[in-house]
Amino acid sequence: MMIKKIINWFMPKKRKMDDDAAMTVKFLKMLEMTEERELSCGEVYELVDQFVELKARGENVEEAMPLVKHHLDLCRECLEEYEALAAALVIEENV
Amino acid sequence: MRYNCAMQINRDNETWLADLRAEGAEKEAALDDLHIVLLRVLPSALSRWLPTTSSHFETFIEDTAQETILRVLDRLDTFQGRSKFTTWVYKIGVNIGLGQLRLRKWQEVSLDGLEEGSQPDEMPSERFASPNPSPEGMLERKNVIEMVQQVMKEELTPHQHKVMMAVAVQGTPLNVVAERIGSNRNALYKLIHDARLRLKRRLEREGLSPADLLAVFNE
Repeated sequence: MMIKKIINWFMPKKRKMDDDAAMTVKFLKMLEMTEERELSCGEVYELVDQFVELKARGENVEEAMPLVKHHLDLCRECLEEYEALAAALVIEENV
Repeated sequence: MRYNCAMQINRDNETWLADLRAEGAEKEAALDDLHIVLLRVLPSALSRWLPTTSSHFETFIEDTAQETILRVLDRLDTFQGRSKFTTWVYKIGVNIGLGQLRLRKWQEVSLDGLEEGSQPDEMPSERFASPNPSPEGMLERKNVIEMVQQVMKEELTPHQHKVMMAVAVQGTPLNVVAERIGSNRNALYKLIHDARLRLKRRLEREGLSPADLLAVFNE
């Protein structure tokens, strides 16, 4: 990692190319996942407690609540909140 | 149906709702129990985002628990019983806690600076793009990068472009951007969704798919 940083320092053009490539790939991956119908963060918030309990019971959430799963694959904030909620259920289970 | 012991509080959903809607001792007991379950769960659930060793940790957890209780009381009538009551409460707690942590973390960062100067947020794509392409591969990548930038310039409004760069590329949280520009998380998600759809449709009109273009970075 340090060597990469040093190379980038001496080669600003290469660094810009790498950044542009990373940005382009990120955009293209988002476009690849884009669907006409997607849930908003608010809609996912309403459903995520149900989703996390289904998941904790070992049910197939991709089949049961595909739009929630899709949103979590695209939205970092909602994914973090889902992960914290899942952690909360594990803690509750172990008390 | 409830019983308390030193470490365990078991109430069913109906009991939580009835006691929190009651007055006097029943309500006080339910509020105390709510506080206990939140303080039991929130520290571990949120420790990934704020280390337990932080000097602010205890205050942060207490503040989050208090705010969660207020919001739970305020929204009690919206609980529809699709999950356990406590799961619904934890959902509100992590939303409040993580929202606060994001605002604190990003409060010094300017969105204009993000758009223009910073490097992209760490992303899976860094593992996706192969590091040493051939000269032909380099040229092909350069062409795709320029084409995508051109399409974005032509299809997106300056506002959509700015929000897309801040959220999707630099990883600025939606609620942070929303607060800066006087919007909300739902509206921003919709704005970004509309922008993604526009870009995807434009590529389709050009006879291209994101998967085909991504393949150029995987060679």
